[in-house]
Amino acid sequence: MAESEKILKINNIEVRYHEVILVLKGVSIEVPEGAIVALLGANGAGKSTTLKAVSGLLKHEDGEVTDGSIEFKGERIHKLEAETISKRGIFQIIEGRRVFDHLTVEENLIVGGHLRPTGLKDRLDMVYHYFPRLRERRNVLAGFVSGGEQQMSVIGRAMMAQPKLMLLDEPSMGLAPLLIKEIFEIILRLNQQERIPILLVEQNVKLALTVAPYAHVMENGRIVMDGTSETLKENPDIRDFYLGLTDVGGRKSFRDVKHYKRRKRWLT
Amino acid sequence: MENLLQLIVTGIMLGSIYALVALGWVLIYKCSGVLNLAMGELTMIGGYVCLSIYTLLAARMSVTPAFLVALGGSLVVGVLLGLMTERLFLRKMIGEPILSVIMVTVGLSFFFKGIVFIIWNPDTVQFAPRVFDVQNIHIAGLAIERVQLWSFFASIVLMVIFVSFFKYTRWGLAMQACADDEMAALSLGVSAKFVYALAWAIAFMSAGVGGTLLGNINGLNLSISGFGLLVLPVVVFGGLNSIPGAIVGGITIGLLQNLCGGYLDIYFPGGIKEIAPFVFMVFFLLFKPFGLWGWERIERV
Repeated sequence: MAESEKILKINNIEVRYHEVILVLKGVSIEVPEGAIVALLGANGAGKSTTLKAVSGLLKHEDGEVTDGSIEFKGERIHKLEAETISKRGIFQIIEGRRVFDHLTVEENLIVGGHLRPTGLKDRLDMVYHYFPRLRERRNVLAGFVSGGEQQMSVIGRAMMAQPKLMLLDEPSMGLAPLLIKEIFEIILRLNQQERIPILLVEQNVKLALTVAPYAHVMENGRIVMDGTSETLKENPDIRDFYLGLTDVGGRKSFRDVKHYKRRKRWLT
Repeated sequence: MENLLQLIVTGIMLGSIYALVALGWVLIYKCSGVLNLAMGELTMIGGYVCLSIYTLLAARMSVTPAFLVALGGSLVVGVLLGLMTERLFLRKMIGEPILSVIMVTVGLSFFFKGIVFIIWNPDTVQFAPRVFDVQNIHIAGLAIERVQLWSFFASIVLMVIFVSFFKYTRWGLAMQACADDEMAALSLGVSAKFVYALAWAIAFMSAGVGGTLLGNINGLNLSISGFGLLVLPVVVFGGLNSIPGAIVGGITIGLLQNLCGGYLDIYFPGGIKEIAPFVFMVFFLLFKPFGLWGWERIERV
């Protein structure tokens, strides 16, 4: 793929919190125009930190990119304030369905369009088109709608901003499997029809690999593996540690006491 | 009976000024969680600024336009002061423990009091010539001072403006969003700094109008700042972060003050009028610590 088509380039960044705690130790990720790239890994691997480094929210948690660079459309953005970064079109959807509890669903969406106040009406319709359920619930306080509807509001809120790059942090968190499926289908449609590039952080590896053609695996603040979803699905380590499958392909049996003796190959 | 009605009506009118000032207080608390103990001083400064401009202008034009221009001028000065206060004193405090921020507002209250002392005469000053006719209006047998009637209308109009700003404009919604979840608001490009600055500017404006109105009723002196403490019972009653609460609370406290002054003053001569709101606040807190419409945490079941 040609260089110019990469909308986001994270080059070997190092992130520290409170100037001492080293959380990311050299992470590089590229997101091509119009693509979905997944970032996988266990808790505490540094996935959310990576997203916050891109969106600039890191600075509000006393974190800082101390080495490397982040380029968005060829311009360096890792020194910029969160506001400026969102003005350029990068929007992060923070994990945990952070709706504005005391505003209605529709008001939540309107706040999403804060930076682009013109044509709000059309974009509201667009969001309701993707999430018909939100239209029914538009006048309910967002704090009181169901978890799935909150997740939809949060995604819809970011869509109102007409993002040029969406950073999506664990949309599946705490939702029922059917709802997760529904939300992922919508994410896929968003990507295909609105051409919004998405950097997706997920713990649900199986699902993430079905929507994202390319993925990176993180552990301990490093990218330990990356590749197309097809190759990752075939990788024995991924199958073993993330998908819970044995080499043979059947479901893993915990009777097989030896399973934990296998070491992750990248830990050497 | 006549007396009771009279007390109620004037109580409501006085209360509407309290409501206006409380509205400014609630805005700051709602957006940034800062318990502002300098509200009385903001009121005082606003009153003095308006008075100065008015005195300057009254020599040159007739009373009504002079007063209106002065009021507008004090609003503009209020905005500037609000932005400056936020920029100079409070922005550095973002992320600091809430107690430190509260202490900063205590410091601010002394600072502003000092400024008023330096610039203006600490003796009581009146709006001269009087802005409102001294002649009372008689409605249904009640004698109502014109000042109070106008204050009432002005407060209502301003409250309607502020509330609709909050409810229907982009920035108003952004302020509410920021109050709810600052991080999420930031992620959508809402500038938290600007929101805080806006909250302080609005607080200065509403306090300034409140101060001007109070000054027209009783004249201005340093004791107007003691009025800032009265905001506390008002907002405690209404709920610290509720806008309707501030309005209802203001009117209730105004009523309470007037009724206590009218009926209990014979038994407790002296300052029952000043104390009653605070006694009320203590008892009210025992039963409803969140106030009438304060945010209890929303939890889905």
